[in-house]
Amino acid sequence: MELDWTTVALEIINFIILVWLLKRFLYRPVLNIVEQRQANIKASLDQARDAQEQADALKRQYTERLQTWEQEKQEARHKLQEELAREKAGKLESLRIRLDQEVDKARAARDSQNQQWRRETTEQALQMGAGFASTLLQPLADPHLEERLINLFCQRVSAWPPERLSGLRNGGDIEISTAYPLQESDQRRLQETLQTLATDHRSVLFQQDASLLAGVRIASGGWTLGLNLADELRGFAESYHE
Amino acid sequence: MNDGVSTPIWLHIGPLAIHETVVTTWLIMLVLVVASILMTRRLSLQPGRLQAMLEGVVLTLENAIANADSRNARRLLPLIGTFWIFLPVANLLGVIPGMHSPTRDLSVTAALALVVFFAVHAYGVRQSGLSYFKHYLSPSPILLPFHIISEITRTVALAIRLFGNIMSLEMAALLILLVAGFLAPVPILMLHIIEALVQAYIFGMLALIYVAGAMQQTTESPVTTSSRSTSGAP
Repeated sequence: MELDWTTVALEIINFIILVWLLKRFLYRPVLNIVEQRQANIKASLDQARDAQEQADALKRQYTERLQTWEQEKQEARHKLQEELAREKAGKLESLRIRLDQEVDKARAARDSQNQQWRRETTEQALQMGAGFASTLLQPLADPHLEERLINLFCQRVSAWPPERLSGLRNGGDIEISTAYPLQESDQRRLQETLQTLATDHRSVLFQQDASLLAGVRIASGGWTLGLNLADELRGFAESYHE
Repeated sequence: MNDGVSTPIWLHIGPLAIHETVVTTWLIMLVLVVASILMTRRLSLQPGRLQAMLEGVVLTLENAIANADSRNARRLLPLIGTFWIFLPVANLLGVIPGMHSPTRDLSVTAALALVVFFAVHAYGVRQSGLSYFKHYLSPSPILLPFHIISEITRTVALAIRLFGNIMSLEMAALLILLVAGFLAPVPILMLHIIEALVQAYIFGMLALIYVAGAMQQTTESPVTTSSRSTSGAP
């Protein structure tokens, strides 16, 4: 066991050459192919990452677009609902107005119909009342009743207002109609009374009219005044129109 | 006369005597280089089984180096990887009948230890410049002789450890073969295989630690730590 320096030197050289050869023919080719594969894998990963990012961007864009569409849809729906509500309110309002008008019209028609019915009924009642009264008074009418009516006329006529008697003052001859023939005293009392009211001297014409039933009717020109059952009953029957 | 320890001289080239171990080393180098050329001739991005195995071996070597020095793994791979490829083949060569391991020759292990010795300083200087040598003066210049002794002894220990283990295994197998006859040394040859692989790993790992320590030198000296780690090695 001795150290041979030649062998030592040669072995050092051998090992250094072996290091270089293995580096040249083993390590470098293997590491190069591994690095190349890693680079390819990295490129594939980068490409996949880019594709993933593009996909994410597209997904994000799609999501945003969907949100926008959803928002626009909501706005359009809201707007449509508002328009529908507005149109509904308008139609309801117009319908309510029409209904009110119809109700008013119906109420007016009903009131008119009621008034017509009431008028007709009243007229009918008055006519019937007048008829009943005429039927009732016709047997009661006699010269005494007429005399009492003439007395009542003479008492009241002086208390009448002047404008009511203006027709008499402005008229012409005076016609006095009675249902029964007047006694002379009654004729003289009526003539004096009327001439006093007319403030001048007028000619007075007496005549008999059985349609008066009982009482007196005085006419001068177009002016007429009377207190008799026929005129009173007719006045009673026509009082509704007045 | 071959005493079982000395290696015979095969030829003389002038004044130089070429021993058998040198020729065996050339044979191993030839096999490794030719195998490397053949296996890396048709590398592709879609590896076959052989290429996958080859890439696995190289990447395993690189990862083992990276565990000690991750920053310089690629730079240290040729040296340390060659130790881890050459030494198992060289150590296991003695298992083949008629062949002898070159590492049973002290001159070979000394040469390899000297390669480690110079590589440590070469990588250290390449990494840190001449300031690399300042670590010999730290923490105190008084420790300079001890640093130098440490450098020498760990280099000697590298050489002697590999030489002693491989030589003793071959010697034991030879003695058992002489005394007990054919097939009797088979168990000791199995031990030889294990020991050869372990010693190759230890030599490469120690070389890696020394070189990585030198490359990481700044002001403190991990050489002392590395020296301590060698004390536990077989």
